Amino acid sequence: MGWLVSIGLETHVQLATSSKIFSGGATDFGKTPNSQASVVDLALPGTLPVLNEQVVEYAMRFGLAINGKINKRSVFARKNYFYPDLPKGYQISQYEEPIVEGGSLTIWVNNNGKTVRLTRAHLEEDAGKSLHDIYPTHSAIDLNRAGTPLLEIVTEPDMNSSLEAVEYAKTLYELVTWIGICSGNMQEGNFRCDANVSIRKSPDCPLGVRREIKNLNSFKFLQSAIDFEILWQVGQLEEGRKISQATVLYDANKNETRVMREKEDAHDYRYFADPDLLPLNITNEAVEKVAQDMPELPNEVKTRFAKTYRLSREDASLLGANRQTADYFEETVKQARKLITFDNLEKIISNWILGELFATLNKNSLKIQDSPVDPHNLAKLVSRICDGTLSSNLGKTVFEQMWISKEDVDSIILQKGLKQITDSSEIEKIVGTIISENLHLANEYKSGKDKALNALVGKIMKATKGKANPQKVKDILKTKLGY
Amino acid sequence: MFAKTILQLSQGLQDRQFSAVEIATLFLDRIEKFSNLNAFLDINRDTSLKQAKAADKRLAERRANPLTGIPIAHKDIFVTTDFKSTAGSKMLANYKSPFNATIVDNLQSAGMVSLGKLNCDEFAMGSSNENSFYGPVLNPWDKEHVPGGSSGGSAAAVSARLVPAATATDTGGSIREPAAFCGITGVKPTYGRASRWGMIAFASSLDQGGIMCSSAEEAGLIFNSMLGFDSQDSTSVDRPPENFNRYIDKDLKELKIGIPREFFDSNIDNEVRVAIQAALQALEHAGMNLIEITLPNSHLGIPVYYVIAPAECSSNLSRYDGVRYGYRAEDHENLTEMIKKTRSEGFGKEPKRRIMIGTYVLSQGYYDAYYLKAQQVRQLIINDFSSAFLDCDIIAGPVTAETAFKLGDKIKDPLSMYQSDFYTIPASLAGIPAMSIPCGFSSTGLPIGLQLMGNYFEEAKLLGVAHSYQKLTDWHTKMPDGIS
Amino acid sequence: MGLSVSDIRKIADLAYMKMDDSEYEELEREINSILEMIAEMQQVDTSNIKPVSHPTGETQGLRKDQATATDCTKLVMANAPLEQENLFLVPKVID
Repeated sequence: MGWLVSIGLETHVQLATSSKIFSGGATDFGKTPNSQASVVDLALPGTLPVLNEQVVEYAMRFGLAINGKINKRSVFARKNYFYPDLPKGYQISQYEEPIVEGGSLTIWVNNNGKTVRLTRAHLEEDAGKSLHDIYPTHSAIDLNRAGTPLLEIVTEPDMNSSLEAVEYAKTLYELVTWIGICSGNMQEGNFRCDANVSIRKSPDCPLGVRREIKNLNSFKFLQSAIDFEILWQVGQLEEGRKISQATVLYDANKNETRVMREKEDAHDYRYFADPDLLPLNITNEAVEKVAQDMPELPNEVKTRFAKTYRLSREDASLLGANRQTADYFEETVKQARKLITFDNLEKIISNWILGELFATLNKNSLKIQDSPVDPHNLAKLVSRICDGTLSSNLGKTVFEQMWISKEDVDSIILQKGLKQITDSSEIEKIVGTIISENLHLANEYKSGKDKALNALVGKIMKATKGKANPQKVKDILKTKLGY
Repeated sequence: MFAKTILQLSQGLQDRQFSAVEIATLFLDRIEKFSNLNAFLDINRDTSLKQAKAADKRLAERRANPLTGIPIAHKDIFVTTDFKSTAGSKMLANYKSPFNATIVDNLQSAGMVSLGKLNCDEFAMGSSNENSFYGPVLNPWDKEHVPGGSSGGSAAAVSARLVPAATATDTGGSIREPAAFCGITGVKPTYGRASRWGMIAFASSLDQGGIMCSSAEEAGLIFNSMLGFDSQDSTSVDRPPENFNRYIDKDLKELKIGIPREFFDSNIDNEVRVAIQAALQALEHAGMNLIEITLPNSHLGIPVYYVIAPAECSSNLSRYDGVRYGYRAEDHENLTEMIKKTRSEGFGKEPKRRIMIGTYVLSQGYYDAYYLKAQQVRQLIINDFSSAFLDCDIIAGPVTAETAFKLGDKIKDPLSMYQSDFYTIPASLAGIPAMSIPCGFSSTGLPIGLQLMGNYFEEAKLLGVAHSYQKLTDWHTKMPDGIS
Repeated sequence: MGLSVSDIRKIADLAYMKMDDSEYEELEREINSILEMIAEMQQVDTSNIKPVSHPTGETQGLRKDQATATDCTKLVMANAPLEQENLFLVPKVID
């Protein structure tokens, strides 16, 4: 194509607090209209903002997680504009002096790590909602969301493809949910991205004119909106047209972006320090206290998983995608190690979690922390496979049973008579019978057709209802058939 | 009876010479009788009498404090659940607040009985009370003259003894100027002392609630219940409670009174100058030392103020859009037009003028030259006071260059109106406590006010000096004719 | 150079107000004279002077993260110019 794409992302992360950023209004979602809007959120005359200490701690946590600079002093400013769902006629945000500056996030694309530089992260309040479809002649204003705390995270234009942008968004999502500052409910708008997209001919050229795509609230839309925007911009420039700076909206139904406002209509927000709020000072002690409570971060965990458990980067990434999965995995490993020593134990556990467990959780729309099969039971199951009691296939049967009845692995094995037949003499007896019943297969094998051996194994497994150890069956067959 | 001081009323209530209900009734009758002053915007007899009854119960049960049963009225900038809260504006004509201002609650908890809401300039913007949507307030000393503003209703009501004390607010002089024009005592505490929760905002970094009454001692008594830290106001200052009257009986002889050279320029009316000089001499007689000081940047007060106050007000008044409460324009083609018409019809001339100036000085390309610059010059004005207070304890000077002007004299000329606050604005910009006390009359019988300013959080000392002056003189006991 | 009537219109637009011509003309005169008065301040040398952020120079206090607000929708809706089912109604916004 010959064009270099530059993408910067601004992400609004809703902070997981019980009350609003500047008021005692509750933050619960989906309540009766305006019932969660306190007198402050409604901007009634005489009301004043007071800052929620939790949002400050959350911002500090984020600043530490991305290795950014937590400013000792930050200032809340008023961003002035009129809209009916903006009750005060201004949004309290941070402008010249944000709480966090700098820092970076490493993303992984096709097994390559890439650093995305962060410009800043600042605290601000959300607006309410305008509902246009309830009444035929009027729009309705619900201010329940007004004053909900947001952390706006801004990157440098370091991403060069929609894939990188999505990977960044996912990594950021994993991080903010991991460190517990965002509950991550995307349907409720907890995590919304604006993407600044521009293209240029080569890295030597200055950045092209950018257009900002507003309000992308799913990874899928983020990707398709950017893809569309890139194609559109390339089309414009290749046809000799100019691109002018604009804010655009993505229409997912039509898969297109359309202009919301041009640069010349850009708002004059008349920012100034909010005189109702004083400068926010953060002491070194406060930062240290938050640092002490910081969990191990996703990227650290993934790297550690890959290294200490000898997992592939992909598997480690999936297991480290959120704290619950990582905890589940590590707990299972811990429990399993108590039960058995086995060379590939962690890899087998990883396969079970990423395979059977994930599939079953998905099918039942459950989260891993709600799994009926807990790490202790999964560990026991894996240990019974490793010690040869169960074949992998029988393991799956036991897993299914455990999922339903939550019973102990051993009692299921006993109950259902699933114990693998490892007694060689017993297997030899069955092998003998099957060979005599299928002499043509035995002959085929002898004449060099390896497939025939598998057919014989299959018949033996069927005869034992899967309980025979397949490796042993193979070995005995080979001996009996003279190879 | 209406001429009694708060201390006398308090004593009488404690001694059961009269009841809180009797006092409330007496003052409510006076409010009705002198309604021509246009001082009150809302009263509610039943509510007030209910509060008075509760006060009587407290008095009977000996759970009272010195303010229990004393009537008060509130500037209509403080929101109240019992009365309408209009801010003197059409915008909030029928607005009923779901909560009380902290100051209102504080005084109510002390047992004070609310008699109603007082007229003021729209959103506290003005120096004559002529900017009220509900009409001007008349000066009880001469009904052809303004009572001052923006707390004109509060000043006129206290001066005519329609209520013994009234809350007020001061952004650039809105307590001190009307107190001077109406011959009463008006005090603005240090910025951050009085909670701004429930005080309808004009300019947040300047607005400060205060009190109007008949003497410094009364003010101190009320401050003891009214002021204090409020966790609902981020700019409220967290300090231990104190007795604001602790200087009343102290020997203040060694105090140094600073006289700013710049406050006695040629603009000052001669009768005012003479009265102020006499007052300063009285302080000297009382044993205090007068020293000349300088506030070299005080002339920059008005320019700085008319950048900062409009800037903050342009943003503070953006919430009045006709969506959630207040006035909404009738005919409109769409949402944008609805909001624009609402704001154009709901605000009077002065708020509109200030919103326009404020919007301009904050807009792109002008912010540095105006707003940022003003905040820098404001620092110079603060520095003036800091150096002055190294040399003196209290600063004294005039409140205004002249006595109350005539209704209609300045309303057509905003600039000359703005000049009325020349001497009061510097203390507002610095956030220091300041007050006005009566110190004489013009030959036409209009009151003259002496301004006293103190260092940050030194209200007690400030009130002490004012009290020692009021012990020596009787200006503060004078009442206008025709209020019996 | 003072502001023109068209500048005044632009400011009014930004401030979401709409007035008639005579009001704009009056504002043009008044605002220009006020800006002239303000100009005195612009002559002052303020190099090395930090702008005031707050008169008392305190720092922001913090509140506990607790939902303390009580539902006052009834009283709030009583003040609303137009409301239905707890929602504030405004003329329809056409996107």
